Amino acid sequence: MSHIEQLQDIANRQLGGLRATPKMLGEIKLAAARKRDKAAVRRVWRPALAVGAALLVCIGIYAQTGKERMPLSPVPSHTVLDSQTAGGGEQAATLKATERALLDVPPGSISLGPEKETPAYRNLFAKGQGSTFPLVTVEGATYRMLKTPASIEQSLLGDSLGQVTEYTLEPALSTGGAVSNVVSQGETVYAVQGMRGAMAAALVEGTLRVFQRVSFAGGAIVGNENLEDTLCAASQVVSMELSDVGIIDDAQKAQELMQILLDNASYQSASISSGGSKSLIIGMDNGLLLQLIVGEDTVSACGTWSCPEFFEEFIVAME
Amino acid sequence: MTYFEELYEKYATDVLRVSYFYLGDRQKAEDVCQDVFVRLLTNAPELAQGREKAWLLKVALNRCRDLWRGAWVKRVVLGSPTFELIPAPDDTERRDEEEAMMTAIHQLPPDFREVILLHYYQGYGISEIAEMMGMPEGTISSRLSRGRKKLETILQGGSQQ
Repeated sequence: MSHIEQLQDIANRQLGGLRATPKMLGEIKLAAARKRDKAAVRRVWRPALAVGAALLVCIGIYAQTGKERMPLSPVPSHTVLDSQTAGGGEQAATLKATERALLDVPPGSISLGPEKETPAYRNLFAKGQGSTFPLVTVEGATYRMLKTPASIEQSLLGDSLGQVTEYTLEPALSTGGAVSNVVSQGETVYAVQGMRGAMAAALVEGTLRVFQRVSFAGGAIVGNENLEDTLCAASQVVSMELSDVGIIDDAQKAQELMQILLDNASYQSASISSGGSKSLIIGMDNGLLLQLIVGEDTVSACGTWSCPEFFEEFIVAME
Repeated sequence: MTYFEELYEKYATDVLRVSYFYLGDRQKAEDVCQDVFVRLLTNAPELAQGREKAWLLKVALNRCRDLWRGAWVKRVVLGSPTFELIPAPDDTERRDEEEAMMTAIHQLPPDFREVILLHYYQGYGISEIAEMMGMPEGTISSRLSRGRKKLETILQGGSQQ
């Protein structure tokens, strides 16, 4: 390993035959010129196509709703686009005022920009009555109650994780055992099928509620757990929603992204790095959702994990 | 010479070599280098003085990462165990140890390969790499340290792939 410090010299020697040439520079200039030309063509065509599409939409709406349901002003209050059918002659060139009004594009009806709506921040975690969120802690792992779904089917229940031994409003002060501030003492806490370590379920006021694994009181992963142990396998994912960015509802793509996250995430700390207003919601094939709080390049639920690669790939996948 | 040509003259070889070191495929490395400079020319980003090379390498590594992850490319073109070195024609003393280390670095998982290349090959400090990659310094330090350990394992006959 003594040579690693001399890598610069070694690599320059061993890759010395690889140089950026003037020929490459010429190719770059050519490629850049082509790219600029393409961009210029797109700039010209995009607004024209958008206006055309808007006109078609207006005509379509009129055809669907009928004349009597669309009040028309005989004299439009805003600028009218004069249109003329190609090769239509004089007859086509003269449009009645009402027809012209139909073809008119109301102000604000055309917008140029991203076609897909970006999802707003959603918080799936339930809030508690006191200062601590509703949770259950079993075998050193803490699970926070989710508000969505409001209840789950019994068929989703897996093995028993244990029974709540202590009900307390101050779970952080508890000294061990299965503790909850929302599940009654003596109630059984179950794993969710196929999601042991990531989700739990228990009866709360007569309803079977689902809980997601989170950090609590300076604790997060237990032993050699990795991110997958506290979330789910990539193969279980069917969709992803990243607030302010977009939704991936193609299961294969969502699974690829999940794999990138699982492969590349590195553990940062037990704490949640951001109380931010961005979340990553993972939809699974069992119909349940997992939520991760999103920081600059991190995701947090059970500990904070850094994974810039995931966010880069998510953006690429949205393009 | 224009500003662009000046940047090309100064940094294109580094961009090309880092890309090649990462991908192990000369044609792909040239494509990456071309992409990076085309982007510089067409997007005209505002680069702070002294930060030009960092920007170019960051874009290059992002592109390398994309290529590496492209499933087909990864399986069929890249990741080949034959990472051929391209020494300068007048370099006759090719030492086995050097070759072994170059190959071992190329075999590292991408996360570790990146930080090793930026730190030991391109001479960037931990804080600079953290800024370039948009990651905490702790992560970079940890990757460097783990990368070195993995490198030792490979050089001692283990494998990381």
